Amino acid sequence: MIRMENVVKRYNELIALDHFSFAAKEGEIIGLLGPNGCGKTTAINCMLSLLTFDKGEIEIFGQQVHPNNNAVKSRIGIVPQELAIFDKLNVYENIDFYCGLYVTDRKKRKALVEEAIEFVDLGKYRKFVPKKLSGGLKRRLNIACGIAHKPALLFMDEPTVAVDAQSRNFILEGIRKMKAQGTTIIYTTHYLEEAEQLCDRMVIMDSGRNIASGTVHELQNTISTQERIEVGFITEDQTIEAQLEELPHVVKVTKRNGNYLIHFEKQENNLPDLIKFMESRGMSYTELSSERSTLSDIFLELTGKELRD
Amino acid sequence: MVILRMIRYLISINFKDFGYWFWTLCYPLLMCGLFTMTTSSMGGTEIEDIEVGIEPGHPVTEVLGTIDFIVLTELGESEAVDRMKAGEMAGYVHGSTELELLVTETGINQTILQSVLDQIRNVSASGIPFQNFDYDQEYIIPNSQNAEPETVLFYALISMISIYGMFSAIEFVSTVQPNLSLMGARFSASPYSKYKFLFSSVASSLLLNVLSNTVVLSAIAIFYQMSLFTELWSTLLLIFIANMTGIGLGLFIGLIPGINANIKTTFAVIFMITLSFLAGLMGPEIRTIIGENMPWLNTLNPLARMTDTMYRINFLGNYSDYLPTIGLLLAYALLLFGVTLLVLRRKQYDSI
Ligand SMILES: Nc1ncnc2c1ncn2[C@@H]1O[C@H](COP(=O)(O)OP(=O)(O)O)[C@@H](O)[C@H]1O
Ligand SMILES: [Mg+2]
Repeated sequence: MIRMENVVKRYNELIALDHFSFAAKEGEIIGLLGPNGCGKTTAINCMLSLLTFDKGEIEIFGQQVHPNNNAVKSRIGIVPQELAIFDKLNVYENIDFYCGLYVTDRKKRKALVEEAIEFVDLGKYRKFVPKKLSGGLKRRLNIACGIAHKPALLFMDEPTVAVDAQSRNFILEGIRKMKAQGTTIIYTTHYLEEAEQLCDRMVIMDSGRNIASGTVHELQNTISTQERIEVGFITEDQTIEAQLEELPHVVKVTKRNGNYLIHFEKQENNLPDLIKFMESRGMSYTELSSERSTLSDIFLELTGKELRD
Repeated sequence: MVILRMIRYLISINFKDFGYWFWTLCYPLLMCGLFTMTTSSMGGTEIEDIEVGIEPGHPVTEVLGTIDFIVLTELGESEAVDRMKAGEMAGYVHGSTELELLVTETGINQTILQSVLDQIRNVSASGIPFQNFDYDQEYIIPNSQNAEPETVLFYALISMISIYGMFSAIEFVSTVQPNLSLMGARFSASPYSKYKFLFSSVASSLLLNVLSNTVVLSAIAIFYQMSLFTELWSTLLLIFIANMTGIGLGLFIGLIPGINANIKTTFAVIFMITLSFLAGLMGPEIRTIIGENMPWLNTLNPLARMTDTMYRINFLGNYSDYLPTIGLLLAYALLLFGVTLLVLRRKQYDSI
């Protein structure tokens, strides 16, 4: 559905996209992940053909993107990162205004606008101007303006930034519903957990490059720090840390909440090996839990940088 | 239908803007109030016909006859004096070698008449025969403005409000440009045509400003009891064309990249006030000074031209300047629209 091939985009000296490639299939939610400034918005604007780019190719719906390609444009929806709504128009009018850029038939548009209002649950606020809406509700309005015309392909640029937990869950739920209706969604965020829950596939970006992509599973398999096991011991002992480090395949041992966190290399038998080892040394533990690496770990390993919310 | 809907939304966006109501309606009405308070007798500002007597067969008879507001009667001096004393005649022109004006009292009509004769004297001193120069053209204006300077204030004010459409145009054109506003990205990503949007912007700015102009002009006529327009339709056409110029200016200013709409509006206000000031909004003296030192500025300043032309056609019945002024205003408008179209054609940006 989307194919982006070796796109290079420069802002003067700054390289915002550095041979960036990625592809999206119909009906999936693709997450573009990465820290602020990594080029997510730039990538979207290139796909929308709002921005010129220096090199590369972009195809949407099998057609080269071009600002005059209205057939492609009419099937796309965008929810920009910043609020793009009219202060002077109320909720209903804002949605109707933007929907009207795509849908000219009045009856059809009315039905679509009503549906969008219901979708973001702003029915109670339809006559409110944006100034009277809370931040989360404004975000919902911003979303409604982008989806009312039922696009086949939807770009959502950090729709959950600065949104309260309730609105955030509501938005995420809505995105799942749209996917269920067959919409393909390109979703950018720098909240990795959110992407982990929501996206079918992810593209991890750093400094304008695609450094890894795939499902969470595939990403976990690409890195070497595979597994972490947290152990709590009954007795505090200075030697524990050193002992644990003797175990084969241990990368390092750190402390977390008074427990020990053992980082293992990618290997099948880390947990049984650890249990055997502790029994042989007579170390009695109170709790033991194994965790897969999270997207943050993956990001850390791939880029050498922490990505914090 | 698509365009009508866009126009409706754009108008409704403007209507909800306090700035629109204040600047296009309250502010000009306040200014009018101020003008009337500071000037003494604004009752009837139009020049009424001036009855003038002249020595039979006098060489300037023909020239004076071409001036709209002068009604000439050929008669003898003593008869003229009687009629002047009866208040039926303002002055008597006589003297075969020297051009002389006989009056029995002083007043505004006598001042105007005196200045007309001064002009004729000046011109004949420069060697051009009276018969050969176009009297209406240049010679009357500065002096008769001195006679009724307040009128110029009103014409300058009307000129100013007729280009007010530029403020909504600035807003509208920013809205559709992705490098200027957040809404612009939405517009550009949609299949909606920028030309339709441009047309809708121009139409709604025009409607809005024509509406507010009508209110202000009616208010001037009703509340201040002023009859500024003897040539109503020609004046309205002039105001309408100036509306287009104003909108063109707004579109042009709105397109300047890298500056936000508020700064542009501030810039537009300063620009407009400057033009108005130079056109005589703060008093006609400035006009005279510019006229003497930088006449090209008066020629190019659309507000000065408009003020001048409104004064000439309504006050003096002089149309010689009318078409050139309309031409200039139209030329500005077309030039600015053209540039706007060229810039708006652009669809992709290096940076947004
Ligand atoms: N208009 C612009 N001019 C110059 N640099 C820009 C512009 N827009 C973005 N950048 C830079 O390009 C990089 C990528 O920005 P962006 O795509 O907005 O990142 P993200 O959306 O991932 O936060 C950043 O370093 C940013 O500073
Ligand atoms: Mg961004």
